[in-house]
Amino acid sequence: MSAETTPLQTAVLPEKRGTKHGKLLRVIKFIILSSIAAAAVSMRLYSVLRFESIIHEYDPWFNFRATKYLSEHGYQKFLNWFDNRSWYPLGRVTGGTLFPGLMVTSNIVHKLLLFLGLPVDIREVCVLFAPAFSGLTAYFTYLLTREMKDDVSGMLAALFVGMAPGYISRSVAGSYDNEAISITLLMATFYFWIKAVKIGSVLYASICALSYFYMVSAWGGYVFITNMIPLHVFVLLLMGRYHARLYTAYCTWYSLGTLASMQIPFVGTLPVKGSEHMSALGVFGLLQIVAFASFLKSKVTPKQFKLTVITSTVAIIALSAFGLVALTYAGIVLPWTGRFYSLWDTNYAKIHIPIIASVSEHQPTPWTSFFMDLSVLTWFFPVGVYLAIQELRDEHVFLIVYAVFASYFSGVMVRLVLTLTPIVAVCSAIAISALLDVYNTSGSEKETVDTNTPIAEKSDKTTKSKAKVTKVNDDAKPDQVSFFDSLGRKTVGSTLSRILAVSSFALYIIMFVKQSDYVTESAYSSPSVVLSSSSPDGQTFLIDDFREAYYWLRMNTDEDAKILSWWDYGYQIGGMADRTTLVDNNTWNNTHIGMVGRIMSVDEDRAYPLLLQHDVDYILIIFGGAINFNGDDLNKFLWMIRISGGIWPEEVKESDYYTNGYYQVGSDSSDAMRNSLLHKMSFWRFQGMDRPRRVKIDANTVPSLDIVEEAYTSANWMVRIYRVKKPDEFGRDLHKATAFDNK
Amino acid sequence: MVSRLLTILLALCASVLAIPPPESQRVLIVHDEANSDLDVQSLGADLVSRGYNVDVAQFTQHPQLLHFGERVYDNVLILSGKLKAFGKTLRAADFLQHMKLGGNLLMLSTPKHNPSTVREVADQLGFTVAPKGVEYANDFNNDLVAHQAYIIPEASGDLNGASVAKLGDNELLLPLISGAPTSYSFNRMKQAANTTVSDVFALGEDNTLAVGLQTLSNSRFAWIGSPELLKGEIGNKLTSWVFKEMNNLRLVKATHVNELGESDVFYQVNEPVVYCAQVEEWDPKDGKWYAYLYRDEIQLELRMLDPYYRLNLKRTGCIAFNMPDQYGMFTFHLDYKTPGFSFLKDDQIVTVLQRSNDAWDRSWTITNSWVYLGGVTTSVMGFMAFVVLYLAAPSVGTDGTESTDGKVEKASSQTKKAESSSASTGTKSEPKKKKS
Amino acid sequence: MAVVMAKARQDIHASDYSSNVNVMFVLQLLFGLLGLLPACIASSSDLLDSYVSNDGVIYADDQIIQAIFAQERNFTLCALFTTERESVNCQFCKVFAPDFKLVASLYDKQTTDSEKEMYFLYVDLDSNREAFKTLGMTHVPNLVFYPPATAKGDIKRGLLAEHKFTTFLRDDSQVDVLIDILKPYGVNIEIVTEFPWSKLIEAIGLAIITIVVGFAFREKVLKLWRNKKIWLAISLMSVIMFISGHMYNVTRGTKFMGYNGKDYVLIDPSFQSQFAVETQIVAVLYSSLAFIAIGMIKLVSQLKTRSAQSLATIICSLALLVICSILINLFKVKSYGFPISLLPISLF
Repeated sequence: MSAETTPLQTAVLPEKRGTKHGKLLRVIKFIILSSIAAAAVSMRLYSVLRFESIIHEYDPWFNFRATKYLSEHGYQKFLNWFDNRSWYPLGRVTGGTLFPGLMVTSNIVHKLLLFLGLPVDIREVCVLFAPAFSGLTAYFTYLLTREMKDDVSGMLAALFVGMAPGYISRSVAGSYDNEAISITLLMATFYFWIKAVKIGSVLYASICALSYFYMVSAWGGYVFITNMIPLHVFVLLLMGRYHARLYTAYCTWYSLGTLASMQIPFVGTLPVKGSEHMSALGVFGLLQIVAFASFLKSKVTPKQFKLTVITSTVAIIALSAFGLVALTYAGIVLPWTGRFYSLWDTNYAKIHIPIIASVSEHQPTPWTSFFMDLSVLTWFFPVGVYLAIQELRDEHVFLIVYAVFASYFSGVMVRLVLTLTPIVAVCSAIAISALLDVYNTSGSEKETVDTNTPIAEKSDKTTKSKAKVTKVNDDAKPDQVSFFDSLGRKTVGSTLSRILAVSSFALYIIMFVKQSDYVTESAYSSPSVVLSSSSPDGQTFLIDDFREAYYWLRMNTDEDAKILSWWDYGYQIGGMADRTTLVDNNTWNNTHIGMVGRIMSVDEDRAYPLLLQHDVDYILIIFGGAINFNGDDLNKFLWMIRISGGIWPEEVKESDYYTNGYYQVGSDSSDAMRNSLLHKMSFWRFQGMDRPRRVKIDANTVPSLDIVEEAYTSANWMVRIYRVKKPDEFGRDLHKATAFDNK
Repeated sequence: MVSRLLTILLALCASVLAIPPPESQRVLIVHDEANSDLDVQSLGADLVSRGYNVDVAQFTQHPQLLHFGERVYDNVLILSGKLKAFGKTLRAADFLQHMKLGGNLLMLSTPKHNPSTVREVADQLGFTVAPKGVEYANDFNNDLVAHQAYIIPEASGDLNGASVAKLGDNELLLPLISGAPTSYSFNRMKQAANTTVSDVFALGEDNTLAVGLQTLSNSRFAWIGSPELLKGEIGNKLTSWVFKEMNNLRLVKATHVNELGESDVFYQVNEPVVYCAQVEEWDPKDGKWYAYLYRDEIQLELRMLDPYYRLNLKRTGCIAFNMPDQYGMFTFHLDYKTPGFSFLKDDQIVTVLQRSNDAWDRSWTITNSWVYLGGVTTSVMGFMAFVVLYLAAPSVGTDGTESTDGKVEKASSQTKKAESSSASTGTKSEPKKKKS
Repeated sequence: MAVVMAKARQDIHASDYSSNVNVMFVLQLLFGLLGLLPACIASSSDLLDSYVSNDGVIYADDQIIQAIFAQERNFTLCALFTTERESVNCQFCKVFAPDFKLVASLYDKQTTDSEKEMYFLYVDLDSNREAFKTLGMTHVPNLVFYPPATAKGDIKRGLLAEHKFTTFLRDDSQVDVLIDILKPYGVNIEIVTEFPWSKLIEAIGLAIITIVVGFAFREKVLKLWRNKKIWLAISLMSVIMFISGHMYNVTRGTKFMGYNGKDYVLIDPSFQSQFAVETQIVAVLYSSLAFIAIGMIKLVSQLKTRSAQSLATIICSLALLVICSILINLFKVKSYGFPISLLPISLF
């Protein structure tokens, strides 16, 4: 029953179990991995040390609010959660428009901790969620890389991924966002996929599908996996590496994963309709054909077979191309969504979707960002890719495909550097471990490390040789030593060389650690809710205006008060001030956002009816003029004008807001600019230098402000809150009423 | 003694006629001794007889309208005298504040007594009182035009020499009485031989002799250009309107309930809802609040940014309808504005939920889905049957006697898992397997 | 009357550089021969018919514009003021112009010359500076309608409606919008989406050629296809280019180099932006580092003697150190306050 040597057993084989040596080695490995995880976690705690245990800017605040809702109301209610405190008066069917994975996970963690008798607040769980999962990411990356090469490379990869700033940027403590969990799941899914492909196991493929489902539940970026795995299979098919293992793994993954992913309300029927998912479906079909062809090949003569293949290939390609076009045309297959377009054609977004272009995360990546986020890994990475191509087993094909595509996408969009980081870590680790193989071969230790590969390899080959009997299309590797093994066999003898090479690469790795430490501390640990600034004498002080203002709102306004602000602050107002907002960071309704932009851009008389129509009680704006804060609303004003101008072109015209073609504020600005509500509210009562825009503001810049009255201005003038006046009792217009009241 | 008796008698008689609502009983009359056009005492006595508590003060006494920010009187009557301004307790701002706090105000000014404070108040309310000396004149008849059927349905009389006002564009202004088409107004003192049309202040119906205004919070205001308008039937109507005896409505409460009679809930889309508004009108005869008779005139608007429904209430004051097929925050918007009557306004914001995930029909209740359910069931059963058969069948791989094609057999055990998975994706490998 | 018309045409023709010269000339001849034609037919629209180019649009120059506005008009004029000049960088002009032309050509095809009530005028900023001035146009793109006019001369008063391009912004294709706008002017255009047969045939032909050539040289093609080195080169090149910020240049259309008035500048000191040449410099640095590392892994162990190995390692390590220092120092130029230093070697 040698055939019963299931793939499972081969997978668990690695160490010489029972021997003393092996045990010690396992302990050491465990210690190393735990310290890597610990380092990864602790590096992400800068933000807590520097500031405090607080949820970071924007999206995390919504996730936090959703998590709280989930823990208070239970899953069933959460699923049907209609948020009547955002997007007033439209509301948001939140339960159906979010990825619940993050919230559910943190709730489970919270429940678990409570069960264990640790009375922690849900907020602490949320704040520390991302660092904790980065530890797990390190572990899964270790597993994945071990499949690619060996234990050493796995550990190195864990180290790299744990410390790369590109990943830290999205997973510091307090950054409670979908990405925090999804990179872990990405690595897990890929690990199980590789495992499944390697040994053709239904079990692993099913686990892969489950983990894919988890990923779908957690992040919209699951599409990356949806395309990466089919692509891997496709490339393998092109290389003529069809195999029953591949068939098993893919079909299991695809059918289970697709069915599972459709259980997420937000995803719904997209996996069978959306163009982004079509490649997975196509490869599924292709695989059936190839499988059938290989079956056929074993039954008929080569000549007949050739003919069948050629005719059917042509027919199938033509049919499927026609079918796809027809379905898209008929509207059955959804056209590609705008955000996806912007990946391919970045000008598309610029022209058609100002709201996407306004998001800085959708900007292309300059090389500095890459170097900042990856440090020396930038050039370890190609080395790893080179080595992977030399080895080129099925799993290495995956590595290469992933590397090329992830680097393309991350070049197009800054935020996708996140998905590139893991593969960079894996490739770099392979490079470094190959270097160590060549330069650091000191007897016995080497042997133990290496035993792994040959055994796995051997068993792999035995399975293969057995399988070969049925296999039709197997032109697998000839019987030769794999490239990675050959590296370890022919080592550098010179001691000087060894010392020099190892130490110089140690230097670069130290440099990498130092850089990521620096970058994390200086760039990625700010919660953005609290800002730090330094006075001329070098003292650091914290600017806490946001929370001050949100607290004011919470304590001084009616519970049902509607707050109008630019969408950036929607989640924060909802989370911190607990008040109803008109728009927020979930930018699903362009028109509504445009409406807010319109209210800000037009003059008082035109804004007032709109404010009444939307029942606005307060307007919150960010003004950085007093403390030189660049990210204020006046600097975002152009986007408000652009977005609203796209919807109400006869009312808001971008050109009207320029002065001689320049964006200018203050007394010299154009009429439209000077009379716009935002301009007035920003500079109301303000005198002196508007520092971000370097314009002198005097009392005449804003002579009057009649439809709203100042309700609150924070300590550094950063947040200004205005109360919208009620219509005048006596039927006067508000200019007249205000003039009379001020007399 | 006699006069007092008379007063009491009169009061008794009058109380049968009209009773002011309890929140509108404190009256202040401010006058000037020099103003001899009007018998303030008898006016006061008349008001007392109608059930009001009347204080009479002179401008020189500087009566307070506001005391620590609180309103002192419900109704204030200003009978202008020769003073040009009323002093520091009676500035225009005080009058407006008095009205903002819910007080009512009636002002009189004449061509002779034309103080700036009155003009200032008029200016804020959107109408212009003619300058000093400008008089109303109608040389042809005594006709007047009454505009508000619900306040002063008809008017006539000789008002030559009264002051007039021109109305601006304030939507809340109600012209009560204006001059006949043949009338005009001009400054008699300045009249010269060559008077032209341009010297005329206003012509015809532009000469408004009595102006009314009701603020958004239902304070009432009136200005009159002649003391004559305070006398007789017109005067009676005028004061009873300004002092809210007449046309005084209130919205006691507005409620909305769902099918189960629950209020204050989240509604579902398309859910039936009943909205009721309890509207009452003050009956000055009985001195009680009675249900408003014309409730079917009241309109309810259900809106989210734009109106989804506009529905008139039934005579019962209620209306039943279904929520629209749209989720969001809807407002039950009631805004009743009949000129001359109190404004009724009520906004209640409710949440209309989307249909929840378990509120849909289950698949087996939809007949169309049976074919799919059947397909699923047979697939599952078939797969199970296949597994059982496969496991139960004698193992062919070991001896190979049953096998005609050894290759396939070897592969079958090797890639057992692979093929069972492919079987799960469809049943196509089933027959193939059974053959071997 | 016809003679007068012909004369007017002659005047215009005298300074007409447009490609329609020949057509014009032939027409003119025709008219000259048939000078007896009743005068009532001749109107300014006939004049315009001659200007209409194949795609139904009149490409204006100053003469045409003068001619149009000097005449009485018995037609509506739909004018698109736009520019294709790169320096203006008018994205929407580029998007809108083809749709405008499409609508014009549809109209041209669906109406005969005598039925025409509307002409489409394409006014480019470059060739019509004067026209922009005289017509009072201050921005592009701008779609303007001029109604039939009996009075000559006063141009601005002829302005019927101005449609700011922002009306269109939200839709992908502007054709529907444009057609809707035209409806009030009595112009009804049906959208006939012709299947792009020519393109299909082209594609099929190309495919067939590819297949045939591929089949003919199948051995070689297969050999190329299976050549690992080619794939290696492609993968490495693309990976290195992408992480050197190549896509940034493509998307943003960055300048190749900066110029500060005196010299060319290679490095943009700002962290968030870059010149195209930076990508190349960085790519060269990355690839030299990577290839040295590959050399260290693959080649050094192949050397026979230990001393040769030592020497190679020393050279490689030194080279790595130097290049990496250059890289770090380059990064420091862009990222002020970056605390990590290697050797103080700086090229930029």
